Amino acid sequence: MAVKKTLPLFQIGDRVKIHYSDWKGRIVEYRGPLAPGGRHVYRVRIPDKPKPIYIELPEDEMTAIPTRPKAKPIPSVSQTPQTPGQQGDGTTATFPFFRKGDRVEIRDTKWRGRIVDLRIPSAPERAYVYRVRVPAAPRSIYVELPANYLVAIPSPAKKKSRSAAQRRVRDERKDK
Amino acid sequence: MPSVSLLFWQNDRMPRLQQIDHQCATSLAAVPQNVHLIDENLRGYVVLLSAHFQGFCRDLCTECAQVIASKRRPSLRAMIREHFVAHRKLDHGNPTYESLKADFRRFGFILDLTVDPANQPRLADLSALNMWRNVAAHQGTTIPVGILLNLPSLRNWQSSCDGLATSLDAILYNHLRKILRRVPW
Repeated sequence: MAVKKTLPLFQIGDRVKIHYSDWKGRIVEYRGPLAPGGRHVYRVRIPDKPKPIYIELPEDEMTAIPTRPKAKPIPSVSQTPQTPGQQGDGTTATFPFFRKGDRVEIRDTKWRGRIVDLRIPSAPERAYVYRVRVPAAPRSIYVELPANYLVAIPSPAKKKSRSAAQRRVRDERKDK
Repeated sequence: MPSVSLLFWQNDRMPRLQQIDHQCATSLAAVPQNVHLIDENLRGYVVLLSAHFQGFCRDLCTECAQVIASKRRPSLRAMIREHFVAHRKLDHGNPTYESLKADFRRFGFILDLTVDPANQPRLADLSALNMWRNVAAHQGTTIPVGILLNLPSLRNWQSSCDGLATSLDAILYNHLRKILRRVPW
């Protein structure tokens, strides 16, 4: 039987859904290219009570479930303040701290600007880099900085726009 | 044609064990001899040999289950595979003859390795290997009577495991070919 050499699709820890069933589980072991045609086989742990179910499946009989990145824990009052994008253990955050359009001030300067772009890190431990537009004459200045050089500026509350009825009353008064 | 499990045993597991064999031989040849290092190397070798043989048996069991399940309709495959893996003795215990018989019983036949007369001394070696494996892994104080742990006996056990692996592969090939009515691998 011809065996095709391919790279494994999944990694240990990936969450998967098993085809033709309601089972969802997590890959716990890579078993090798043991299925017919050299397909890669994985051992999957399906949570169940009183004991979890283990099953060995080839890669084409399950689908990966995308997992959300872990939410950043909310720092308590007693904790020391951290710079944005810096975690408690000193490593750099792997999720974007700012969004496009956020107003920011650059640390140790009086420059203020707006985030216009963010660069995705090339490696898991690398920080996001933000492109900031600082208004200046005759042309705006663009700088690229990681999150720990930036401080968010709360945007001012928007003025309430008048409703159509209010506008009509105002126009009527003007006419009079 | 050999299974993927047997090819992995021959091309990956055996060369790895050969390296441990060389390490043991080197420590035995050193002058002056370090008795503790020799003992640790031999104990490491016996645990690794047992682990690799267990790994081969598990791989072969999985491969057979995958072949059988692939011949059924997709909606039944997960259920069939679960049946072959649930409470498998080779997932937790030593690769004893009893464990092998219990796990391969799921494929609808009683495994009898003694049909081949060459397997009888190999099974005795497997039993000795497992006894020493437990002594080494659990720091046991009760040493098996009449069985010495030295490099010649380890080489003999490795050769026996190799013979048993080839024999197991051939038995499973013939059985699956009979029940599936086609070559399994």
